[in-house]
Amino acid sequence: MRLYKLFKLFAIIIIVMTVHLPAQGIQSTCIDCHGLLEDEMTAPVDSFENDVHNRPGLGCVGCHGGDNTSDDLVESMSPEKGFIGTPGPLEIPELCSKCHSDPDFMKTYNPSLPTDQYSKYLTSIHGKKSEEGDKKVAHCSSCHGAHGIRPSKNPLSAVYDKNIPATCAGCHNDSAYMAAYSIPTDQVRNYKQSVHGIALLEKGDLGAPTCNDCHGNHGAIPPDAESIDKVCGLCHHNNMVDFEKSSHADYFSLMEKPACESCHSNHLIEPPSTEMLSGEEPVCAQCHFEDDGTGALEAANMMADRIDSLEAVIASTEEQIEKADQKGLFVTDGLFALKDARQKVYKSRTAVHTFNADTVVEITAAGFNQAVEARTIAEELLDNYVFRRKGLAVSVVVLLILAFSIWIKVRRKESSQ
Amino acid sequence: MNNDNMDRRSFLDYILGGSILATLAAVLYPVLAYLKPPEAAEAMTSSIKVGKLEEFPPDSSKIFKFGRKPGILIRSPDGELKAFNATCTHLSCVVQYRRDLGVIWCACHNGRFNLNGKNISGPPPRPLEEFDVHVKDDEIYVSRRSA
Repeated sequence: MRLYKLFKLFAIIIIVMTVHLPAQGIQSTCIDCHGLLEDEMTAPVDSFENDVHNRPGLGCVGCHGGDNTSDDLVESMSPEKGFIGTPGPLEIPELCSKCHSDPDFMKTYNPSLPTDQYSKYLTSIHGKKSEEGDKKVAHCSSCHGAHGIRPSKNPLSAVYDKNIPATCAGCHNDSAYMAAYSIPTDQVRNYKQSVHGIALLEKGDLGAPTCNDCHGNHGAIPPDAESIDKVCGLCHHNNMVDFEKSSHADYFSLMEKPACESCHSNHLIEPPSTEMLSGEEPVCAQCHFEDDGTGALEAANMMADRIDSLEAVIASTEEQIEKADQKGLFVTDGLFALKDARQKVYKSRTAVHTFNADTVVEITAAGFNQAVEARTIAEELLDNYVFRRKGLAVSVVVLLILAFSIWIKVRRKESSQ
Repeated sequence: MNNDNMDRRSFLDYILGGSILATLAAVLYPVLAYLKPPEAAEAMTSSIKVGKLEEFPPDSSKIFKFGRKPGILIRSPDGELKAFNATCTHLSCVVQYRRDLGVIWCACHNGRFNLNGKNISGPPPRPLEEFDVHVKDDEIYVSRRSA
């Protein structure tokens, strides 16, 4: 077998040496040779064709060193020509950073690309472990690939938003691989069932957060208790503002409890519902109990009740509006009033984070008024529609009576003559 | 006998007369109603009058109805008038103009658009639909852009 491989290598050398190519016609002797090899030796050639580095002409030597103009096997891969072979996992981050951390160099290829990836990587858990000599932790090519690297906005890229959970799951879902780190391996499974995972992976909402939106990408690290509300607050801004102004903020900070996560969990974040306030296992009951003097559970029940009632009124009004709409009636005013009422639902759900029932009651009261306005519009439209239908029926009856009366009158006239 | 005939005839005449009057009413009512028909939805609003120019000082905004969708008219601090579909391109909440930030903002998930309607941060995946704004005799008209 070994003899066969040596023979094949020798044959390739002969082929390359016998095919005389003018120097300026040689694009890359690396590709010329590796293209003739098999399996893992030729794989880089195939995948590099679509690599983002290939298009501007950055070839194999950019990372591996050597001389891709020499058709001499030994010379092209000689250490004197800077050939390093396959870089190891601990060497890759520094290797990539030679270009990617150099703003002057990057400016000539992609000025919009940041150049702080390596410095961030060194602050990440991955980077710190790598610095300690851990070869298992993620480095650049673990996520981006080695020879088929595509821009992150390319749907085929391993770091495209929708592909990131699967990329992270490559390690973080593998309990055997992760055993040494004593961290859970159910994050991605949980994420896929979460409101964010469903939005991104099933509904295709690219605005929904994926792993790196909360953990960072190159500087990946779990957000700590103090910063978690700010991370969630990037999208849930008003919730964050309300929470930070609330009486809970100081207590959570004092007890080092993570703000959002304590009630909403982390990876398995379910769509929020009033069940969280007044269901069988309300989240408030994790800290509060009946008659604990704070009135917290009573307030939670009241908030849930008001929001549920408003949603019920909106749902029934929606049916009325839809009924009127199907009859071709002018429902725009009703739709606008209903939209305003729905906005109040969102607002009241957000206001739950003030932990002040009065605020929620005030907002839902405004929502009720708007829902009632919408309902009144729909009912008036439907009443008017029914009135017109009845009018039509009455008219038809009157016309029939008229026709019948005329018919009798004519018959009488005829019989009297 | 004659009286009976007379009674039946006059009864029939009453019925006939009443029916003629009712028929006239049934005919006239739709005619009169036609002069003031019930509001019917326009197939697709293409242009509306939003208000007078004097009602919009620089750095102000107004949410208006544009067909079935809310629109937002913004007069930027330098006086330029811009109008957009006010429905956020993320999850369809109504956006608003934030004078303090100088952006169009969606309260639902902190999505932000610049005053050209371009999504600049947060989850919105695409820009807001822009409408054309025309001022004629100090009245501001907003119209849908032709494709």
